[in-house]
Amino acid sequence: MGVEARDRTSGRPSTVGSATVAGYAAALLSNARAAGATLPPFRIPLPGLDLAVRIPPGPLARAIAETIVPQAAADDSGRKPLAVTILHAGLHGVEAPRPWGAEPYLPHDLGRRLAPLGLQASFFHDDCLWQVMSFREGAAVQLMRGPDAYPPWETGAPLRVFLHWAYAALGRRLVHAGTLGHGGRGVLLAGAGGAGKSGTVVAGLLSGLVSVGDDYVLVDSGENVSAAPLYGTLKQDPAGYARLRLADRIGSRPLNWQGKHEFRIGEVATAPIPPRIDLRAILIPKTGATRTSLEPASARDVLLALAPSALWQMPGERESGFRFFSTLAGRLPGYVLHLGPEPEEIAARLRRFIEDGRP
Amino acid sequence: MIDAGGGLDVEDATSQIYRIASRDVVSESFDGDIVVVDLATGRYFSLSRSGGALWEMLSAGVSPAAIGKAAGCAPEPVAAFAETLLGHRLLARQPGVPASLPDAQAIARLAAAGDVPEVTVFDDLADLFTADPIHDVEEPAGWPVVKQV
Repeated sequence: MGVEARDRTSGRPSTVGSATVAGYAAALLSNARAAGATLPPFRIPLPGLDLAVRIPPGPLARAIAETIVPQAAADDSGRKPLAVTILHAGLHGVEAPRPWGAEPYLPHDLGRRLAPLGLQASFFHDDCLWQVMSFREGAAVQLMRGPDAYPPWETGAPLRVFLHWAYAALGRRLVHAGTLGHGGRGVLLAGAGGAGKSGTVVAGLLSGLVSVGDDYVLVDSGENVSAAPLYGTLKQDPAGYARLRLADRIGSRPLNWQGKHEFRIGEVATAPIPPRIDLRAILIPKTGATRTSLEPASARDVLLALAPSALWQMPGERESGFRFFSTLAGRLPGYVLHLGPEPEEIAARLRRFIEDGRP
Repeated sequence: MIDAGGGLDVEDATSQIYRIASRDVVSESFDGDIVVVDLATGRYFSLSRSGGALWEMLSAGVSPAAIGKAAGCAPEPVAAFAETLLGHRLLARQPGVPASLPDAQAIARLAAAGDVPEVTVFDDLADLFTADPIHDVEEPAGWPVVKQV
């Protein structure tokens, strides 16, 4: 059984605050080394990262195995090691996670406070879940109250916070966007939920285009702006699922925490997920047109479409993210993608755009 | 000088020196289109072309009077725009600091802008940015359902 730490005088659970979070993070990492040693590492080669996950069997372990897309490239050189240990109270005497105390919890401030120490930490209150990472050690730990005590979105993009921290340190970024490609080139689809992003990705896949992901993809804004896969998850609300006739293809699925059907790229794509696509443009989808067309958008509009959700959904300091997305918006042309009602027509229009590189 | 209403009189307003309000306020320019974001609140601000040129100079410590003189325009609208930025907590007053000289390129951009200095605010995510995800959460829905006061 896990032992819950309690304050000696009040008997209440010990809490963590801004003054003690660094010490607590270091203690969690130390505990993870001891307790995690009993768990066999599960290795996943990723772009630039050699991910090793130690996790007890269960739904989260299955989600990691099924959702994260391993990089097929044979070249292992230059990958930075990242060891992630997932623990829960009671596992080999692991102590229960300590809650945050009474002072305001400000993720942005926490990120700035810990960065000079080579640490990052995030606390998810609803499940009393800690995620901590040491950049110097290339090690991270997720401590949960119990084996299933994690937020409902975790199985769709597991380890997302650790990957965000690790890639941000490498100058790359997890971007909340969809992708479509053809012949090694492609586009990023950015915008708020409900704008038609995911429906466009599925429409393209059904018509023979490829994708390196929807929801979260890894973007490199180096010499060639490119996107690489991390997660193979796709989601559709029931209306989109029906419109794209997905039940005929992959059957019925239970709805996830958002009330959406969740499935994998491989279930609808006609070609394997490519290791990367070189990005030609950033598209901002908008529904409601009678025919699909592209209209130039300013870099400012692209940034406004791309950055807010990406910045808000990830913990830690936000400025480097804002700078990254600004660079991205400045380097690639942007277009508003006015979406017609027919999935096949949308896919054909996008294929032409990707091939030609212009509207 | 503060007038009875708590504001600045005209002369003081045009000679004010400003600075960027905090290190959470960051901006990017895309060929003269300026986006400013307050990382602490999640509010994004899109500035018109002339507003962007004024932002560059005001945030660099150039007074509205100096901008008006260099650009050959009245300083009062510049001061009014500075106070709008102050109201959004993008700028803060910086009394007692010597004024900087206007940048010739920014003055040229201001002259070429041909629009009115304006700020458009995007605050769709501000509730989520400013909420404390532990203490401001609607129970038992949990994060990200923010408590409505």
